[in-house]
Amino acid sequence: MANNKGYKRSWKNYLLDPSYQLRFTLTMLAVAAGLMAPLGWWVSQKATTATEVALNQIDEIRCPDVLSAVAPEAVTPSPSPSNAVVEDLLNEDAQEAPVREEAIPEDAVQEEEPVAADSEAPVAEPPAVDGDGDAVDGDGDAVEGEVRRERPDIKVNIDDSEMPVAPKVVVVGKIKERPPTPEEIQKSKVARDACLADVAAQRDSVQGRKSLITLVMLISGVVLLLGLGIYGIKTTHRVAGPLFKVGLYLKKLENNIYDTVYNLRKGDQLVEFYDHFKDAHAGVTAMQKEDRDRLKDAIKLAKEAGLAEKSEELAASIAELERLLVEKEESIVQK
Amino acid sequence: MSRNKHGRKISNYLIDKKLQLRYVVFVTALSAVICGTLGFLIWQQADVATNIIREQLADAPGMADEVIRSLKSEDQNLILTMVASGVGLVVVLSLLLVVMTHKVAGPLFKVTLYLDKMRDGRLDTVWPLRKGDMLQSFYKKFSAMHTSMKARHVETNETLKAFVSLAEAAGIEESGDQGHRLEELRKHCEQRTEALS
Repeated sequence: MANNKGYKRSWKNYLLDPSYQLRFTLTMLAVAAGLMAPLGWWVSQKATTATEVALNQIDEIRCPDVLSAVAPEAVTPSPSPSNAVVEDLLNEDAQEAPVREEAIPEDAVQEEEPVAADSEAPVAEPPAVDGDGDAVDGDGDAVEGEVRRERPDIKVNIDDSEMPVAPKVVVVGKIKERPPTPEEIQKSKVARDACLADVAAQRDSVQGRKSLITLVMLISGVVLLLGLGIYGIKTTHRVAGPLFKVGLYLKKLENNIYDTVYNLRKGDQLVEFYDHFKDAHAGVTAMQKEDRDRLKDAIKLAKEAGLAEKSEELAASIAELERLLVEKEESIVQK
Repeated sequence: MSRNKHGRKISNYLIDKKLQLRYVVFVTALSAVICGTLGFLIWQQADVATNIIREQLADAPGMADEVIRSLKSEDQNLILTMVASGVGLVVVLSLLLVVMTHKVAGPLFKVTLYLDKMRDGRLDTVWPLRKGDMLQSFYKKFSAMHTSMKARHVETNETLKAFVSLAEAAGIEESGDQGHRLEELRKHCEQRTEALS
């Protein structure tokens, strides 16, 4: 039993039964790789799709523009007889700089209507009008910042016979817009920068997750293959170890050596199987000892009865018995 | 040789439960962890895309509800697919492992039966393993040992039987002490012949 203590496993000896251990482990590796490869491909496809969807959505985010200190150029319609007078009257307002002018085509306006200011679009559009004739915005609220002007006293001679269907007198308002202050410009810059940074961060985050999935997939594959490989070799070694030990005793028995059987190392598997082997070894050793005893009995009987002198056949038989007895005696190792 | 045609039975696949299930549990746990991690990551990626779309559709509540419901359904399908893939992987690997370990446990079980006979002093014929079984080299060693040991016992028994016959022919008195001892030798030879048959 002393030989068993202190015996440790060596990595050099881990492949005790290469055909069994490698066959078992490599089969498991091949199957695991065969199952993981389609799963990995599917995960990769899903990750790519989800990433593309997320990136497309992020790309659609629109950040607000930075306010400009320079007012957009005024759009002035070409003078016409119908609105020239009004233009003159309003020229004094145009002196206040900077202002944005909005002109309304003469065939698309109504009399004395205030024009809604549109800070975004420099090109004028006819303002919406509510039931009372007040200008309203898209939500139906009254437009602020409008400029009401005095209607000029215009006299018109009407000749019924020659009177054309003329457009009504157009009143074109000029809408003033306050230029953004430096603080507002700075604030809009900060807001845009923050928005762009947020978009970039979202893109980085989504792309980072995609890279993480790819990395985890690769690591998982390596871990699975290494884990299965190492654990497979280790597990089969725990089976191959006791079998290797049993194999040594089997070789001894084959060579007619009935040695003492020692216990397994700690952590070895097949303990139950090994117990069966020990019992079997004890059984065949008992058979060997019984044969030895019977041979002794036969030789003793032959000597007592003087059988060797009775015939040459008996003498040869007794000699054979003595040879077998010597073999049996030598085969049983006494410790 | 009719015993050699013995096929595998499903009920006998778990011969050595401790040996077989130990490896199965390890592989199952490893596969579950890998599938779980990958599943979580892929779900997270899909969830990020869903959330971005949800935020962008916040201004259009009517359309958003329908789109979000569809996206949620897709995310749930993704989770279900991942779970099904994980379970499928674990089941296939576990079944394969049971089959593989059975090919180890099977020969060991067979050797154990021979060992029990040896313990009882019986050395009958050793039949070869089934096709596809593992531990072939170990089994060859066992078979060689068994054949060699049996041959030696047969030789000893034949020599003893020949001696008893010759001694009886030489005229040893049956009723006396020597005759009694000769009778015991004969009985031993008969028992041994039966044990080696």
